[in-house]
Amino acid sequence: MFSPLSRRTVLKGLGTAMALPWLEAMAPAAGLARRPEGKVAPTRMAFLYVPNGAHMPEWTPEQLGADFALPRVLEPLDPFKQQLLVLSGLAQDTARAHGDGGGDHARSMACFLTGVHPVKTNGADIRAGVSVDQVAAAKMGHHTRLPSLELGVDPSAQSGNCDSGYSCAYSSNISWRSPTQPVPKEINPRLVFERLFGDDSSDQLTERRRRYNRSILDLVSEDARRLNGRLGVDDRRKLDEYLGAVREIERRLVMAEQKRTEEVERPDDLIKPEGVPKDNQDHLRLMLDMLVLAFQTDQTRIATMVFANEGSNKSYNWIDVPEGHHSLSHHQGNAEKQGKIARINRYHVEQFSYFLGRLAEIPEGDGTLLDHSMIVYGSGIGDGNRHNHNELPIVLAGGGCGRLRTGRHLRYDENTPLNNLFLSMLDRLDTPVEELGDSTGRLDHLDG
Amino acid sequence: MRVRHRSPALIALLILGVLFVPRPSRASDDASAAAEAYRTRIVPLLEAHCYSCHGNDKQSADLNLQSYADVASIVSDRDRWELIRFFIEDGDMPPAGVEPRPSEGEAAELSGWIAATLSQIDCNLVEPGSVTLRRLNRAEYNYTIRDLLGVDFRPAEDFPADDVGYGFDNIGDVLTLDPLLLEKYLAAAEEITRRAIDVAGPGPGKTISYYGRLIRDKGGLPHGDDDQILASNGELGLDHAFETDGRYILKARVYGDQAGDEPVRMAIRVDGRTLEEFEVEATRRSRRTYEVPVPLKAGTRRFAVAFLNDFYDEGAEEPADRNLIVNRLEVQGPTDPVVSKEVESLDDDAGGQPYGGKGRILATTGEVSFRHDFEAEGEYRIRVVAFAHQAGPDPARLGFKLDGETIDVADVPATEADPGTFEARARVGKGKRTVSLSFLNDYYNTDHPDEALRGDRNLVLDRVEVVGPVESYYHALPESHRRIVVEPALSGTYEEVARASLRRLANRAYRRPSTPEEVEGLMGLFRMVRRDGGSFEEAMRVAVQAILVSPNFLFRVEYGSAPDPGLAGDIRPLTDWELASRLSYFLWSSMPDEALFRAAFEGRLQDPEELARQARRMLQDPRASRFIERFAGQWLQIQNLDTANPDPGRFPDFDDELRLAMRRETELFFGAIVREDRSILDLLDADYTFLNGRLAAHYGIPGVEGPEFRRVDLSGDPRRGGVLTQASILTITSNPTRTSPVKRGKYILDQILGAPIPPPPPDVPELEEGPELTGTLRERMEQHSTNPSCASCHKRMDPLGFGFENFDAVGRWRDTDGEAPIDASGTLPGGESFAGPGDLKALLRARSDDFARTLAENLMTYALGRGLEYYDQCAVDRILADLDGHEYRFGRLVADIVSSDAFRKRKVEGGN
Repeated sequence: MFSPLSRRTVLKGLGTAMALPWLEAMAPAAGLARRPEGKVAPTRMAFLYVPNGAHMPEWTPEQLGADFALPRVLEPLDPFKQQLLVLSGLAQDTARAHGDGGGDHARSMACFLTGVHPVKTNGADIRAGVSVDQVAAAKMGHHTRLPSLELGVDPSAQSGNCDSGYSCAYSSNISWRSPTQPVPKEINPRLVFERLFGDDSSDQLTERRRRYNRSILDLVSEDARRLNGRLGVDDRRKLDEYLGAVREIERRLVMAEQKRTEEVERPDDLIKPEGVPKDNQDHLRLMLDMLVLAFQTDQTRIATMVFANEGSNKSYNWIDVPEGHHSLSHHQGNAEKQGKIARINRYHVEQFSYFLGRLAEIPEGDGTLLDHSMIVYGSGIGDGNRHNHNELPIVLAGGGCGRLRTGRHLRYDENTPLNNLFLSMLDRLDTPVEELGDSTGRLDHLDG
Repeated sequence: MRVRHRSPALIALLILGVLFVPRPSRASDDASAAAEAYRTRIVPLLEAHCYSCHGNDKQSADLNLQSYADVASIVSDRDRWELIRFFIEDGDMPPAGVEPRPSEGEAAELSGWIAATLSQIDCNLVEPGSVTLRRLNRAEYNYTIRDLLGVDFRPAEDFPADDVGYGFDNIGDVLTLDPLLLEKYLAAAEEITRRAIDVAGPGPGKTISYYGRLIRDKGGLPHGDDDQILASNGELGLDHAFETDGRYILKARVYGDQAGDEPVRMAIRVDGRTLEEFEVEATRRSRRTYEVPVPLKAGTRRFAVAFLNDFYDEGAEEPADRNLIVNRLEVQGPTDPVVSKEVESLDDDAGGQPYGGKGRILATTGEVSFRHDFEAEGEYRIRVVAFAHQAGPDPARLGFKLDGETIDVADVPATEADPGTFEARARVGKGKRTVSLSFLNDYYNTDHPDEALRGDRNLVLDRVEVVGPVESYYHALPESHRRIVVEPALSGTYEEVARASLRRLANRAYRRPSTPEEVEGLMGLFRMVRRDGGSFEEAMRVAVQAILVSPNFLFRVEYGSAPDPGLAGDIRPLTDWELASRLSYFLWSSMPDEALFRAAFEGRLQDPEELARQARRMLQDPRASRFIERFAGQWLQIQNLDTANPDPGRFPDFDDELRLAMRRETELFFGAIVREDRSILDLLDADYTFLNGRLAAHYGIPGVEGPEFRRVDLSGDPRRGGVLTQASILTITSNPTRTSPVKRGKYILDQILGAPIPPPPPDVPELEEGPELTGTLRERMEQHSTNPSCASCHKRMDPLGFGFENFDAVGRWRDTDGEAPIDASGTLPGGESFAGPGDLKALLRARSDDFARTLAENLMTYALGRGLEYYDQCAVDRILADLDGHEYRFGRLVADIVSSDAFRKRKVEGGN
């Protein structure tokens, strides 16, 4: 059993004296914002996803600009009001049916970070687009031991088709490495920890072990190439995934050999989480703690985190909402149900606020980790009852290394693509792309 | 595209009682007739009634019917047209109020034509479909490792979850592989080989000690803090479980109170038989251990020490009392004889020069030799602790010789700071022989232009052990080790044993004969570790790791055999090996067993009869429980119980024990139908089930106590019977706080009748304008269903769900919901009415065809690892016809599937 106390002890000893690897970076590289004093801190980027939309009347601030009040759902963010942007009016058009009928939940998750309308299929030919986090990871992931980190708390659905003929791959994943390859999320904090800091038994691979692993990978990629020559198109796609994975692991082994990340600062008295906490809030916070750790120790700069799978019908009885989230979200205008939805929304925002608080506690260079981050929090559905994909609930938090003017509520023209925000974020990571999914341009007014 | 989409026809059956369901027919005649009818009859109807909203000018729901130029374009957009047909048949299109309305006859003509057109499949063509390369999913990985190596732990528990397609987690298309997973495969392979391959080698074995409390009441009397004293003739003995056959060393740490004119005499006995007698001269100050080696069969035996010569002289001066004092008993082994020699203390003429207390140095090519008496014929290991002064491009090389004949050569990369152990093995006959250890590659170069190549290479031999004959070691090895390493049949060199072992393992792991090229690749890894000074076993570990992360292991590769002249060019019959894997992963979620491999080797699996025979055998095997758990768990969705979360406020009795019991009931019930080869219709209604005390109490069924599940006769209880009245399914189709007739109805349509409702419209209209819904759940839902855009579907789902309203959200029987009495009556769209769950089950059972089709389609999807396509309808139809003639027996269904073309052949797309 996992108590909140033991979760906190995990973090004990994360002192400020800990050597931060980015300070030792040999040379400023892409993704490192130049700071006035000449120091550089890398910009981190994360996307936090919540399902089933939000109760927008209690989400959207009434006033625009810097002088705005946070409504009930966003209230827990008050301590960080000066470090966030509430972005209203954004839309994810590709989540709409476009002739494919029902399945808004699956679609809204599959296209949230891709801006590509997914192929409706229960299995064969799953296809969406490359997600913004993976675009960034492909461009700057080689600077860190892990190119990106994908986290969540719900396992992928175990059976049944997930939403109106859409494969569960769509409603369980927001990160897509390629249009056909969703990146599975890790939900066990212990396993995240082991990825970050190694397993107790084989804490650091020995030089010899790494050499053996490389030889094994050489041999098996030879096997894969021999197979490739004899197989059909779909089979080759699977083998390409395999070979891509081999190359990535080889890269990590080479990196480890070059000692670039050898000083992986596993803080001394860090305690490995035992497993998946039973309590939802503990679980969410522990995963967020892992994310903070990953950013703090510069194991990765890119991450996604899914608070619950899309269409989740979880019961939140600990905040006195015993009904299922999804069935409540079809509130049909019933005020009591809307109130309960707002309660679930606020509960999730509280966890988001906890995360921002953790980032803000960690000094880094001339600011805090939060100052050097860009964190998007939101959903691919506006109102869960209507399944609309415009007027999405979106908050962008963190200073982006001084490249965002925060503390404001902005409203964009109706149906402005959410992907425009992503283009602007990629610019601020110094990994610009010209287009992404259905983007039509950059988002204005983010820096003033 | 999926066969299930044809099912609107089944809905039509339900609704209209229409009995016309077109079956695949001869294609060519129909095709020209359909084309003619499209032009002359259908287009005018569409023009009159549909184009105004779905034409070039306007495309409601993104549908433009004018864009379909010919029949081919309609067939290629099959899903869409099946939906169109469904709407027309149902009278939902054209929508109410749109004029002119088609007559009933016109609507029937339109929908009939669509049905006939879409069902034009030529069943004479062999169309097995194409299955994408399937990665082992988590369950398959765990089971395959267990069956391959006999290592029973579940390394895949830590792997990321597998994605699901068509309701199952073994669908090739959605099983992806990313770096995270590969990293876990590598780590798992290392851990698996660490557990599977013993690296200790033959040697002392383990020692189990009995002392203190453990010998306290085994004989004699307590003596001091730790010891037992035998003050008169007698035994101290205990029962020891000897785990394997082998040679054991039995030890007794004792001393005597000496008195009289002879020392204490002691016997070591096993099961009362004296192995050896000892004169125990040790005293309290010099206690020592006496031991005897003995070969023993596995089993529990009495190990005892006996005091044989008690002496007491009351009249003597002191000391006059002779006693045996036992400090501890130990069992060491199983172990093989070890003779250890310090090389330095060999005869002066043994060769080499003494090297400062660390053995002997060979400074030039030469050898160290000694005579050894091999006491019995058998396998021996010659084990040397050595290091070298390294110089030149190669490590020092050590040769092992027996009577002048080289038996093995090893590289010695070890250095003085870190000496290593090097070993050779040989089968040796009884007798004295000369053992020689030679330095093979002296190197001396002081003026090489490359500084790194200057130096003097010498070999230093420190200690040598001759171990053997090696027998017990093999008995004591873990099963997994023996499955990997071909021992001890072979007296070959390590190279030879490694090659034979890796070939054998790769044959099984890749589920087909490995190629010499593949085995050579693995041998490359083996040699690399050996060159590093790794032992045979360590080198085997690394090579086996490569097998376990090879795509040949992780993926189920299918090429098919040579093209069959009787088939289209892109259709290949599967090879026997591929068929064996299809069978084993279908029914066992794992690799084939020896019998199946043998059938493949003998080429018997090309015969459909043999496939069916193997399938029957496999369903009776204990491994079939994996099929029951995995298939039933996913088809009936009872895996979702893991995440079901009934509101604890309303259902305080629901806990993990109950959750597990619910799942167990359904698995045992499904398992009984599989193993007893019963009718699949039992799933819908049966007069038996499986309960334990907890679940019986939950159901209110008396007379079942305790945690064990047992078969329970339900013939006197009309409330329960069949999966639809089991708590598992009733719970997963409920919301956390209440039942959901919609979910239950949808579940029956989807999983039981195979007649899924089309997805709700993309933008669920807001109902907030409407009046507040009031009344019981049923009343509120009925109001909701009056909304015409909801009603067309809900009128199909809801009555089915209402029929089970007597079961609450965790499957308990109830007669009231709050204050209101439960009304579980209803009328199906086809007009059949029912008064409660019993009636409804009878109505469902009458739809045996729909149910059998649904189960057959799900089973085929699971067996093939792909979604079904329209052409699979031919196979499904054939199976259903056959099943009807065989009392719907489950075994027959499986036999029909494995002998189908889809199971036995593959279509090759884009290359090969």
